[in-house]
Amino acid sequence: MNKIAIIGFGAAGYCAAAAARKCDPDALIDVYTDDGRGPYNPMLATYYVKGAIDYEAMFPFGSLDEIEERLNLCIYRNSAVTGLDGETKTIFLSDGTKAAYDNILISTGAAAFVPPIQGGDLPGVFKMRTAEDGVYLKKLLDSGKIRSGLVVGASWVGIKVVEDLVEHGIPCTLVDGADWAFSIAAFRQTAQRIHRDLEQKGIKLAFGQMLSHIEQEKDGRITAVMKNGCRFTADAIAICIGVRPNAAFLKDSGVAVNRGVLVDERMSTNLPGIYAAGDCCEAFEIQSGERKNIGLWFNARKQGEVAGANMAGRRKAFGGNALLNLAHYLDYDFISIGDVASCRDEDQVYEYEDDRYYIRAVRGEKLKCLNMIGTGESNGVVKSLFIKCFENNQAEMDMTSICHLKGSGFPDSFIDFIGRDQH
Amino acid sequence: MNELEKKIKAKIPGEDTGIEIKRSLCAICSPGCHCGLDCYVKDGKLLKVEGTLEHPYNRGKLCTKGAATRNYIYREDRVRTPLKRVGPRGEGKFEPISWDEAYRIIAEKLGTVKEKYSPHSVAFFSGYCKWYRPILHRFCYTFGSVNFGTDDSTCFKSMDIANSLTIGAPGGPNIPNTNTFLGWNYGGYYSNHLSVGPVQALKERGGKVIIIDVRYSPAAKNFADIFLQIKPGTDGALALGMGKLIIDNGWADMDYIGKYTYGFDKYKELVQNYPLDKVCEITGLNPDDVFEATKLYATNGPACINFSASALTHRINGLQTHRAIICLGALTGNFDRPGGNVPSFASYIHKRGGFTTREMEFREEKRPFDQLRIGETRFPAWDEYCDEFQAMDLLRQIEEETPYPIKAIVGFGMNAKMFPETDKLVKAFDKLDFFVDADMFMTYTAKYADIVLPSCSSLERGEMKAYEGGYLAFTKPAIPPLYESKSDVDMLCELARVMDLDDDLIKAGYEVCCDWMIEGNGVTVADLKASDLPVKIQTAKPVVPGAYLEKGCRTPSGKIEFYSKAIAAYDPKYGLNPLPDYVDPLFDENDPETKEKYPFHMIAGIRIPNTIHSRVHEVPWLRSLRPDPLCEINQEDARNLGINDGDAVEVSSPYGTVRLKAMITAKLQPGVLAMAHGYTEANANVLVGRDHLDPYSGYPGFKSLRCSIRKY
Amino acid sequence: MKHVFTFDPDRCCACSSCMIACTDQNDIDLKAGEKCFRKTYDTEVAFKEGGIYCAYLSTACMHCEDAPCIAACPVGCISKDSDTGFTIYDNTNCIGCKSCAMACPFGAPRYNGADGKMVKCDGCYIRVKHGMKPACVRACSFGALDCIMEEEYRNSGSDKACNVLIDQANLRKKEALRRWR
Repeated sequence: MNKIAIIGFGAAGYCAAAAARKCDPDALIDVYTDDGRGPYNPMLATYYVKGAIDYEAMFPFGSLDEIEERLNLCIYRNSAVTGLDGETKTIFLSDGTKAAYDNILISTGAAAFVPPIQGGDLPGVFKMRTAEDGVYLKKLLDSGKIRSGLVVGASWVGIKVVEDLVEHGIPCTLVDGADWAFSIAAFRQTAQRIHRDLEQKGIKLAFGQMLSHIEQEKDGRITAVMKNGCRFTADAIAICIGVRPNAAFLKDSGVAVNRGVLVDERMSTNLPGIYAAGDCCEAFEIQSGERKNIGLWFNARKQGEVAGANMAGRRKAFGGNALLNLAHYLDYDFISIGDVASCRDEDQVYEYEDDRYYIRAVRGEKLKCLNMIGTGESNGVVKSLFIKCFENNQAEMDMTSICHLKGSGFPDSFIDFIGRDQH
Repeated sequence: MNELEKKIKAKIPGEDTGIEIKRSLCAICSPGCHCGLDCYVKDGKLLKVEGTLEHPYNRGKLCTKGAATRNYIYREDRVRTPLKRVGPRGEGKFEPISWDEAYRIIAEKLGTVKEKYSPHSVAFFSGYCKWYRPILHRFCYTFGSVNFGTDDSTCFKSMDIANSLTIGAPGGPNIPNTNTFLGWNYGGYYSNHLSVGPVQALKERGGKVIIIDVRYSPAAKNFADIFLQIKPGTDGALALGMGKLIIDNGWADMDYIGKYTYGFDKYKELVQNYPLDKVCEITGLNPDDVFEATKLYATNGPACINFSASALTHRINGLQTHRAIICLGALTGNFDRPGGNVPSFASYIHKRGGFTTREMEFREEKRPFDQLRIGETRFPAWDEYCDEFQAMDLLRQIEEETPYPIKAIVGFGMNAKMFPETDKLVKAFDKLDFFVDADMFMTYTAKYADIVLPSCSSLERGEMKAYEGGYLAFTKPAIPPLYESKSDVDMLCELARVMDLDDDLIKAGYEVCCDWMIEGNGVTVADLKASDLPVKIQTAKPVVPGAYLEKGCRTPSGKIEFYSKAIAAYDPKYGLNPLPDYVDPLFDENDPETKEKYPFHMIAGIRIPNTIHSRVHEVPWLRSLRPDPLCEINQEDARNLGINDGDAVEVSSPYGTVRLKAMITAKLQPGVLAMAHGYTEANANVLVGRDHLDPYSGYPGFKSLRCSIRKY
Repeated sequence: MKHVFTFDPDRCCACSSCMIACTDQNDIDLKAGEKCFRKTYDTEVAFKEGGIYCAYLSTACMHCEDAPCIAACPVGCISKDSDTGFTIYDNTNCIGCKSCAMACPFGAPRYNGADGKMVKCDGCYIRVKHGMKPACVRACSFGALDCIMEEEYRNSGSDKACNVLIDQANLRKKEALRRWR
């Protein structure tokens, strides 16, 4: 009988369990989770805060009890795995328990990164990743005591916290250490427009602000002090600097880890029988051909499915993985497709702007990166064209996509620009 | 949502959902169509429509317009009660009045005009929907006026007259039995959707299709083995050139010509003037294409031709163009032959059921002959073949009051936007003592009326309808009439009682009139009403190809007339040609000054799938498909003029100007503009001169006129 | 009784009956800014090598077998109907994050401005379960759109399933160029 362990039970873990169960009805599947709740998308926490969904709706697969029964699993709740022996495929828990398996999936996800700074534990300082974080912020905002907010980190999480504050009518300031918002995905030119549009909605912005520490004011407020000496005072401060894969427990396990756990197309690590999927892993990315940590719900689910099937003896591969960043906030959407860091001065640039859209695209020999604002309904069409130009050199731009783009108000010049590889 | 709620949301008919399917018909377009409708109804409200699968005519199909029936029925500008105008004409200020008062005012006003001038000074005019026409026609005559007119003055009648002159009968293409279909200006995809299926079937069985059109149409893309993109209005020259090729290459059916035609020698002489190179110069076509198309049509028979109801005849050379096209069928023996063009006659309101009704007797019984109709003696072919006034003379007669004044109009769905120089016509309404209009909607025209009567839709009434294949139907209301609206015929019958017209039939009501008209066919209205579907009429006979020719054509010679004896008999002062010779479609606008100032050839009234004249421009679902009136322009022309797609442009003719948006296309040739008609805010017909008319039929040259275009 | 939507571009003229029927069936409130789930295209596409292809298309959700939108949705709104195989949804918990649109190569998911929630074609699966055709198919006068049982589709040897449409349109374009210059 195939003995499978799943470490971490987010989307990747759940989908792996479901896929493995589908392929192998007899397998023994043990799940270890440091949580007591069903799997969920961490991004939902901010939607819960703004009242877009009820608490229960954050858990699309149901509670652990329901899942356990439905998929015939054995779920060890609140049981963090603290170590792994890759050779013997043995896992260790904090209470000293250990167990060996035929196949192990590492799907521990990622965690919000809060630097160890002075004042980081003051009341009113918070991070945003987990359901608890959401519950905390919602209570804080519903208390009516917060009259101003500061968000440190113009990241995909940071902007959602900004949205929560704005929706509660709380004035807020967004600061970031970089020179512009979404700096790992946005061109400067795109960001300029994003800044303008945020400022129009009454949000104060400051960039080039590296957080030094946080101080308590006498009036009960708190102040984020920057390395350059700037001070930003508010009733609440969100630290949204970034997320890190949860892979520290793999130290000395023999599993190869960069930022995340390195995997191949089948989501297998360097060690046979040990897989990784989701936010904790680095899978091959189509543009660079290198392994990248891309934290997307969709990837987590698909990678989980692939890993689950492979653990149950099937051969399945994960492909079409591109760098994607979608920000959707305050009736605004910004998407970045591809690697902004790969763009060079000598590359060709395409820029377009009208009442609805802003587009900036860069290509060398191939497309490198696209930034688009306001294109929400067409993002999938463009993304799939982007992926196609890496998957198949000979692929033609298809009529449906051309019609869709033209019909959605994209200019012919844009279609020509992105379709240039294709004949 | 529980299962029942899901079913209700999905509009599944059934006892549990309370949704019922009621049968009706769609009367949005011309009565030559009118598809059977399944109306999904709950609590008297229409929830959705579909074509009736069991209906012998449309077999479940509906076009874009018909699919929007719910939105059409529940349009916000439905006229809700009888209305009396309280503001200036055209402003649209009305106050509701009762039906009794409306009838009383109408009776009084019409009586006054009759007394003060004559009954002929009251013109009765019908636009859409045309279903009540026999009643209105008879009403007009009973009232004592010779002036019954309809939109037939600008619709399909010119083609019909050309048919009558040449073959004495209508002659639709018999596509199911053909080998080659010549789709001459074939617009089935946009305006006769049920004709597409037979062409698809023809292609699937290996048949050939030739498409001739001014634009690269869906039919050209999907069907054409040979596509001829012709310069607008030059079709007559092409037809004559094809005639010459057929004769010269020995493809003509000389036995047939000898037996069934009249005037071949004169025709043969005429076509000598149309050698291929000259034809290609006129039409802009490639000689090889013309040769191949002609050969295919003439040698891969049986072959049939799409008789274009309006596209070709809405030109001032239109009637003769259509005659020249009919002649091709005569040359090749394809008229009245299986797979060719086969004559058949209408049973009731344009529908060819294969049985006869007393519709014409009903209409004509009370006809007075003591005055000339409006426009009479101006267009001799119209006068001879149409029992209506030619409305293209209405504006002149209202303005000039000769030979006698027109002082009142009784309109049913009257549409001023179908008239060239619309702006002048509505101004001329000021000279009227009285104008009543019945319509479902508060239209542009209705706003000029003194009294507006609320008509109901086809779904809210019962009506008699003939269908191809020997069917007759009498529908029942699918929903009750909205607001205080009424069936048009009920208004007429009630008004006849109020006015105490000398006509017991009309006063007895619509159903009695229908029973009178269908007498002798072995059915009664009561029988028809007992069925939810059209009833097969026992007296109906299928068309037998060849029978008509054997009996002799309904033409003066009894034969197919290359040379029209009827035209030859008209007074030479009209300068009409008994042979179908070609003249330039812009012959009245070709002076150098006009040519230079208005260099574009405008097709004012091109078909698009979401419109039918002006009838559905204000139906939001349909309007959303093309929200703005557009002027289509070739991409090279646009580039030369600096016009981008969607730019605001001004289109002008010597008669007027419209402002709309540019739509750049490669489907039109350089030098050609095209726009859909009937928009109030961009009415194509203000560009058309009131005398830009076909001298035979009086038809306006909507589809060939000079224009200029510029960005503004 | 899995079903397959098929589309024949050589039978379409973008008359948009399908869109109107979709609007009628689904009570799409255009005035409120809603859009129906199907969209037609009458589009002229110029080729680098010269010539123009006049595309007539009708597109909506392709009901992909392995629909990426399902996995993309963080709140689990989208699922497969087990009877028809259509990709259906319940947008009660939809947060309007547009992840489904980012996943969809066809641009099928739409957004209602009014409530900020995703809507899309559900294949009229309730109608289909009751033996009826989807509204758009029922309204297509030209046989361009159809919806047939999967077995029937396989047996027909057709290549016109909507989700293979993309490659179809490519093959077709050269033919079109030849026909019309």
